[in-house]
Amino acid sequence: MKDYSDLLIRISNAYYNLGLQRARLGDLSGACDSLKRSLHFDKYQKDARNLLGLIYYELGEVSDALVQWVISLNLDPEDNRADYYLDEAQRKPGALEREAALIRKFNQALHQAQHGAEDLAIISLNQIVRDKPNFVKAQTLLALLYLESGKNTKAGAALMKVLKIDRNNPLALILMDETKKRTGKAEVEKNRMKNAFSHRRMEDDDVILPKVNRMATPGQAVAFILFGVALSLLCMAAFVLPSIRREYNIAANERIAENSRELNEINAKYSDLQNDYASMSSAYEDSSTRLRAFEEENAAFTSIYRILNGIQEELNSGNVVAAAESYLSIDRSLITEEPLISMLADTDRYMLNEGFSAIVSMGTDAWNGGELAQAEAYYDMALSINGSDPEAMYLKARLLQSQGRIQEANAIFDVIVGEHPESPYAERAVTARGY
Amino acid sequence: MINFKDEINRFKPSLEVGDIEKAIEKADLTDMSDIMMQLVKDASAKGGEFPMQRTNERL
Repeated sequence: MKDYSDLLIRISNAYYNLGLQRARLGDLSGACDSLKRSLHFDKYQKDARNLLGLIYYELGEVSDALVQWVISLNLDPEDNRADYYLDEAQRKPGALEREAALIRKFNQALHQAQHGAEDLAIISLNQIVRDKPNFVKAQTLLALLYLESGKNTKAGAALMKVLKIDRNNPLALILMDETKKRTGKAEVEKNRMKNAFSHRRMEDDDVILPKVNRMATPGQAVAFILFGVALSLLCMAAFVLPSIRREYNIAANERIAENSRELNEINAKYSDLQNDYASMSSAYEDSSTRLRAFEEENAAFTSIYRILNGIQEELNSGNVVAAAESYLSIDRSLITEEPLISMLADTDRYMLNEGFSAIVSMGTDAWNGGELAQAEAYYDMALSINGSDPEAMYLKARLLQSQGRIQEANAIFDVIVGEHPESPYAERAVTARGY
Repeated sequence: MINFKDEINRFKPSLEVGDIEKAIEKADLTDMSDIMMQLVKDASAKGGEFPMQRTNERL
């Protein structure tokens, strides 16, 4: 009996190993099957039961997983990994409640699908798989409902998720075949497979030639590399550079056109500025000329005015000689405006009368004081004021005569006699001259 | 050709978390050893005795 027990344990272990191998390869359905068989031969196979619980957990069947772990812990409480799995499953607060809610929802969706409410079932299942993508049963049912309603692509997407978790899920494989047939992908794959394998039957005298691997020498490798580089440069020059050059030219032309436009605008502005400058310069010149003319006119006016005013002040202060000098310096051509004309007329009246007489008297006083040169200067000044006064002429001539300047004196005497014959000084001039 | 109705009806509801306890109680843990023991028991009851000993020892 012990032999039979050993045998059963060995068989159980073998199935466990097979289940473990399948689980590692992703064939969870196959692994489940092997592990159940293992437990069939030995219910105390702790590892098989724990692994079965893990697979159920991975497939989204949380309750089934918990059942297996609890049973495992009860059958073999010491040093059992199931204890850890149970703690992990319930570690996060509310995790078990969430799982319970999802399972309840799935069962409701299944009931709806089985009783004609496929649309509602699809909506519920979509929510379930969104919260728990690894719930294989829900994904498979959803795929089935999509296929029934003709949504092949969505069915395919759900089935892909299932086969990613459990690659040999029987129902998922069948449904995927159906999906591929409907979407035409089956044909594509078939063609790919046909090309991958040869169907030619070998004859007896067929010789299989081993594939010869020819390795390139280093020189050949370098040559290949250089050839590749040259070819790529050629392709670039032929295909890429022209378009780059074209784009660059277009960009450059646009920039040139832009710059030309700007330049033209600047030139136009410059020309305008030049014209403005020219007109402003001429206006400035014109204004300057007028200003200068005005200033000159005013200067002349001011100057004459000052002179005339100065003459008046000098006469008021009794300085007849200075007044006479100023009077004689006046440029009468500049006096064209009132009040200068009036002022000059007043000055003329005074200088021709009182002023003239005063200077002649001063000349006589200087002669009497022995200052002959000064006397002559006074007489000249008087004659400058009034050059046709016979008295002043006579006195000057007499002065010159007294200095022995006979010819000069005689010339003046001749003028008196010739131009002022009615004057009493004409007779005196005749006498003084000695006609 | 897939019969969608049949396939949908083949789906069984998942075990709910509240039913875990019941499921554990109802779990059939009979394995080959139990069956063999039962067979031997039946055989010995019919005629002949076997000292039956169950062992949990593992190799």
